[in-house]
Amino acid sequence: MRAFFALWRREVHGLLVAPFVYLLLGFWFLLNGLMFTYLLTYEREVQQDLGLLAPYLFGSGLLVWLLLPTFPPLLTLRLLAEERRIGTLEPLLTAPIGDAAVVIAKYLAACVFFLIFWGGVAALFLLLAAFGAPLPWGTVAAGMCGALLCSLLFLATGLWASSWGGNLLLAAGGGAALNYLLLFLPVLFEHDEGWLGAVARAAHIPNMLDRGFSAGLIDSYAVTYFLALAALFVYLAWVRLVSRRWVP
Amino acid sequence: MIAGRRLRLGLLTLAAGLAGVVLAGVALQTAAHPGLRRRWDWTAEGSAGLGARTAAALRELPEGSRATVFLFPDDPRLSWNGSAVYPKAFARLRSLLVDAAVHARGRLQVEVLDGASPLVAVERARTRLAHQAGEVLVLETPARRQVLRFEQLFVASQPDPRTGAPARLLEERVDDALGDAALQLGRDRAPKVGLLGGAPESRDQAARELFEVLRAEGFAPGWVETAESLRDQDLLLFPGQPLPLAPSLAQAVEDWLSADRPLLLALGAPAPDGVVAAWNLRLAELGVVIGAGMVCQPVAGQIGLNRCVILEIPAHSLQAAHPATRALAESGRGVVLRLARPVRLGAGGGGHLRTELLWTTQDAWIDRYPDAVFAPGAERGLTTLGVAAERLDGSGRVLVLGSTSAFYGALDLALDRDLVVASVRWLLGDEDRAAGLVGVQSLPFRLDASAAARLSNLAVLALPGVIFLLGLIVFVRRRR
Repeated sequence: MRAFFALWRREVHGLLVAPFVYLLLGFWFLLNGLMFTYLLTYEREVQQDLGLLAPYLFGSGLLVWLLLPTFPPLLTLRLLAEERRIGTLEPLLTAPIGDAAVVIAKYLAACVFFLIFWGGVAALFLLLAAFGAPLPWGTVAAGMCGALLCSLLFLATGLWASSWGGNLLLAAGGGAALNYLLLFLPVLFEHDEGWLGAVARAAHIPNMLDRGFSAGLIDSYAVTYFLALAALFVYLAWVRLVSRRWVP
Repeated sequence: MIAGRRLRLGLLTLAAGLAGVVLAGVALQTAAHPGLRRRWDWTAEGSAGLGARTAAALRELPEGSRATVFLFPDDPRLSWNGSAVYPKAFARLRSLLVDAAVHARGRLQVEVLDGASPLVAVERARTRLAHQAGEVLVLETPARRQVLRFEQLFVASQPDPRTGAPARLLEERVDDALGDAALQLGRDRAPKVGLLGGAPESRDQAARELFEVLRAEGFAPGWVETAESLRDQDLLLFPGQPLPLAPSLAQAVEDWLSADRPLLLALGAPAPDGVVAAWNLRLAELGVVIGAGMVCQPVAGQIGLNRCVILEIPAHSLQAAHPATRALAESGRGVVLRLARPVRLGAGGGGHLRTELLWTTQDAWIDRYPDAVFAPGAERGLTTLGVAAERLDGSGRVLVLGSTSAFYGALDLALDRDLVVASVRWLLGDEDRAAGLVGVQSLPFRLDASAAARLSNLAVLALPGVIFLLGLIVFVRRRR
């Protein structure tokens, strides 16, 4: 366990001293700040009712369709792909620590670091409250919870894409493409009358965020969906790393 | 050798991956089980989900039930000047219908149609359900259907063009309305609406259009041909009466009224004098008098532009205190009546509570029908066109309208549908209950220019700026 925490700390430290990550974080803050002020300044419906801010931001806006699918893979691309590219992955995998622990430590480090990303969004709400805005905090918290769970899933897909090889572009692009598939495929097939439609409706991430979390409702199925799929992609990343040893 | 190794490696990786996918699928299948699924409400009011009564009613729905939601802003007044009415109401409906599907435990399939839905899907649903503007939610079982309009689900204030104040969502009763609809659909049988009278030449038309409206509201309409078949009905409806009733039917109708059973009577200006006189005798005890002639009024108060054939009754000429006309009056929608005759309050026996439902302007007058000549001695002024009466304990409900047009023709039915439906509901004791209304929290907030600039500077410049600066420091330190 001590080795696991040491590895986790090493990963968090690695993210903290990477200038690229700050660039990413800065852009995340900038784009969210722009979206936030746009909604408050130009979206008259939000001015009429601040209760719409959480659904617009966490439910159906640019955050879901643009920022959430692209930023997590950019953060995770260096976790495995870069280690492989600079040749530090093999020594790490031969170290006296389980392969699963390596993958989980890297994933958890990315998750913890992504909390800083969400901290920036929370800061925007606190800032607005400081200006005297009457905010529906329960709905804001639920919306943020949904977005956080969604980012856990997208970090896991990013980690899996990062395990494909040493190509950073493939890791980032592959992760983002996977995330967009997870977002778009259910939307394309949700009106199908058959089993495909049923599966699409059950896997409809925008609906889970828009009709559940950002409306203040936490659905046990949606929570399970995000966590189960995140676990699946972390597992797939582990399989990708260790499978070479299965065949001598 | 290498190719064989790669193949084995690929197969093993694929098998391991598939095992993970299957495991995740099983976990999701289990989580989707209606009995295991839970929802937690984090809103301050704690009213984001459906109540226990509605949840229980939804669980009683038969297999194959469907809820189709049409989320289109039909009333431009509720969107004017950036109003949040529709976005907020639609967000609420989307969320509550997911809740409904969860509570129905697999018995309810929910389809949400909005501006982003494929046109084919919207048109298919509109055709299948004969959807009309203003209808938001259609709850249906394989046998029956309940249609809920926006006004039945939400109460919104009207916009004020003078001050620029947009409409605002004040209250909602989605939970109760959905519960009522599910309970009605879950009943063993739909309330029977028996139709008597009616112009023989327009029976087929009425049967098609009026029957469709009544069925959409969960009622079972049918023509009454004999006195025996009258006994099975829950409500007696006369959409006009061009001929006197056969003696056996006339006796059955009098027995019906004596038994305090509900009656909806519509007699327009063309109704024969003998028929009107017979009804005045029957309704004398209730204190309802059906007058003679055809009601006319100037169009928008302009002398010279008179309307006798078509009367437009605005919302402020509808009784806001009665369930039959309340929704129309409160939502600012009027009705259109053709060839109307006056219906007034009379002396009565004193045992009934009577309410005037709709009336003309002060400038109205009564012409003779059909020659449209002002009858000497005929009265002028405000004329009542509909009256509702009931006993003090709420039994013996009777509603009399001075026009039959609300029951015929697709256009009139569309215009006056709410009047017909609300009247039938009230007569059957299914009127909307104000108790189901829940206040909707509205949080208007507008930053003044300087505050908006400060917030914008902090959100767009200060916060990201600090991060970029930190990144620069890290970059410089690493280069050293």
